[in-house]
Amino acid sequence: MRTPGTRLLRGWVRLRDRLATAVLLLACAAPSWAAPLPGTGHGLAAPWRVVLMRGWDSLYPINIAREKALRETLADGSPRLVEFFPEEIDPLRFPGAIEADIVALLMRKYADTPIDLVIASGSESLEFAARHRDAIWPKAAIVFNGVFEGSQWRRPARTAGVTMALDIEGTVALGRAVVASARRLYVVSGSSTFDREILVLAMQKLARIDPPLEIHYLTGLTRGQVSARVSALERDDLVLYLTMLRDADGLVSGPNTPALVQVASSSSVPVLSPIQTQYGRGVLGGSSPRYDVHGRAAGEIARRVLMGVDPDTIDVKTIPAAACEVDWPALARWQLAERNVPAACALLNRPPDAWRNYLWQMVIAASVIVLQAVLLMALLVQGRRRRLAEARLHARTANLAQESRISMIGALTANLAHEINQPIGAILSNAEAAQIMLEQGTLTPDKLREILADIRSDDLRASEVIRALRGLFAKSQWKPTAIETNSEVAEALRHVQFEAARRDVKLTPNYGSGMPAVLGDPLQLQQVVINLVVNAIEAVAHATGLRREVRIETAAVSDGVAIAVTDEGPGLSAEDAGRLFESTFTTKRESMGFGLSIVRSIVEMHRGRVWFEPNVPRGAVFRVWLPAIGA
Amino acid sequence: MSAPVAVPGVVHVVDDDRAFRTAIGRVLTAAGHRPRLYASATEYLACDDSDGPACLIVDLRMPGTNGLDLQAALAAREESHPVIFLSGHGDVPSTVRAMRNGALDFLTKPVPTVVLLEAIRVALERDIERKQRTSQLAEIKRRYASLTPRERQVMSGVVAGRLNKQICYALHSAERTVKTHRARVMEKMAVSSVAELVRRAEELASAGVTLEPIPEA
Repeated sequence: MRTPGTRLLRGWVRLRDRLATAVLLLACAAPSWAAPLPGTGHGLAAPWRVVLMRGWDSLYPINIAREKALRETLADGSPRLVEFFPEEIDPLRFPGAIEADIVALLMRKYADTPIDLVIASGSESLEFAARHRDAIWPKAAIVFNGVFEGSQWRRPARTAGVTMALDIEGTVALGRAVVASARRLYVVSGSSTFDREILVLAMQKLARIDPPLEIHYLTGLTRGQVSARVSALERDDLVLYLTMLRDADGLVSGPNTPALVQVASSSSVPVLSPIQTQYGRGVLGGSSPRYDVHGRAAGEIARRVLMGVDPDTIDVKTIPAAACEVDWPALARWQLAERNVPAACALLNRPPDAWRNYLWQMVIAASVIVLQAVLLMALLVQGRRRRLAEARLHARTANLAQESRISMIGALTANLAHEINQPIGAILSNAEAAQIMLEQGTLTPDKLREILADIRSDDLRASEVIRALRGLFAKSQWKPTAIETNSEVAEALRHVQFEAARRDVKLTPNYGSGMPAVLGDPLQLQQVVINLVVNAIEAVAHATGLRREVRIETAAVSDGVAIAVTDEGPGLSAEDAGRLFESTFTTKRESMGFGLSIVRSIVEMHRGRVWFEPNVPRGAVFRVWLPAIGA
Repeated sequence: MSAPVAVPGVVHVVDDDRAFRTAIGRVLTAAGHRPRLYASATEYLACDDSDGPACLIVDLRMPGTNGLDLQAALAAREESHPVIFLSGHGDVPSTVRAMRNGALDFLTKPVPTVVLLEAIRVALERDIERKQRTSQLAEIKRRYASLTPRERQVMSGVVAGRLNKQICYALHSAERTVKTHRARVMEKMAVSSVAELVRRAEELASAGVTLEPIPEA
């Protein structure tokens, strides 16, 4: 709830803040406080109120360039704040009839807002402002701009401003420079008052062109009709596009100038224009005043008038055509030679000059970059191929290992069956014994407890066997871990003990101490041992009268571990020893032959070595060396 | 399953796997047999095996002396009980060898109790028969041993189907004397016909006893 008391308090606070600000500003400006700076003046004097009278849509490129420059120039150099009041009368779409209503509205609108200055853009706005200034903005002066030099207008009283040139001559000269054979000129214009005003101006100028051209006027047409006409022009023709704010259909071309874009893109010959803001939208170019320069000139005049200069004493200045401009992509579009463009013309949208000035250096630099890229790609590709090859090797070794394990099944099946059937047999008998006793009524709780405990432990035993075997037969990924050689060798021997017993061969392990860990796959290491031991078993089992023993020794050696599998079988001939690790080599009838080959693959994948030595006095020793982790 | 066994007997279980041994022991006890458990062949061979009827359940694969070795050792004995092999995994060569050497049955673990008990029943019956045959043979041998040398010669002649006259001639004896010997033989061998005597002679031959030959006429 607001009370008179709080309002008073808020008023006091605001006043106190203002006083504080004023004191601070005065303190800062102490040396020259008697002559207020423009900056300090902003806060002290009332702003100048300026009406911006626009003809049509302020977002036309020409309006943007001009008004932006005008407002910046006026505001930046002004000793007071400038407050703008934009008004659009839009004579393009609302001509004549409602003018009285607009005036009435504006009179009411500005009844309590005194206006210092009216800036009128274009001749239609200027005429409107001059007609109704006394009624709407009684004390205001008028500054005009956006009016073409030579157009039909009368300078009213208390008026100052700038006009701009319509450089038809310069524009046509450009066309003749790039198309030396030009004989005909097709002039495009729209149907609005503004379009016609420009057209009239242009016609006056074209009549004086020397040497004369054959002039055709494409007026009173729709944009589609104009496009069709210009699309069929011949080599010696040129198009001069003036303006087409509205075409014969009454279609108004908005700020994006679709009519211009359509006509220019259809034209079979170069399209010229005397208006700068049309360049870059498909036309080749032309000679035009700069609209930002024009706007700045108007802004300066406006400031002078606001500061008290009598407008009637200011001469009307015309902003001349600055220079000709040519859109570089348009040159290419009509296949025109750049060398024919007059030197005074600026090339717009041209690719960066660096390409011209430093062509060789850039080519060399680019070549170096390309070479480097190629080199990098090659290295990447090589690296990738190497990784793929490694992956394939691992996969291949894993596959071979899998096949090798399948081939070992024969040797291991007996062991598998025995190891599993032992506990399963015990379980069955225990269960059936309990059943018999139950039916006989002789099953005491103690007895049952005893039986169940036995069943449980046998069950665990069976599942342990299955786990170990499943691990051995599973196709494993290459996932190296730290492995303890002795326990893996022991596990491997457990798998082959039955085979050894069946063949009546004694396995004698001798485990070394202080073994370092090695990096690898435990199952693959087991496979190596199984393969070597099975080979050794077969070596001694096949012949009679031999010492039926296979010795398996492990030892810590420099930088790693050594595993030796020794038998006193028939041994190997020197020739066989040389081919030993080839994948097809075998001395066994039922073997698949890649036992030792897979052994070597696995060992080498573990960065180790495997080799054969004759045993003294007879038989063979297979030795495996594997590097310790970190060795 | 719980029906009382036809012939209870002593079952010797030879298996190195303690858990399996215990389980088999339980089921045999429940079925009314008297199991004796041994961890190795050597242990069994060292034990007193006088009770009967009996049979053996032997694991094929054992450290040291295996099942087949045990079978061979038993075959060398004068008397031995039927052997049932029980194995976790029987490969073909081992099975063939075991059966050829007279194994009664070859079972694989896990063995259903019905199957095991049936095998044991057959084995025990076979053992009883064997025992009976053994004691019969011993009786026959004892009786044969009680014959005088002359009586044995007469017995060989009768078994060979010779007539009394031919025997007289071969032994240079009177026919009356031969008839007396012949009656003694029939009496001592406890037979009432020549056919029976021939059977006794065959049994003696099969037991390795060579009859006293009769000189050629």
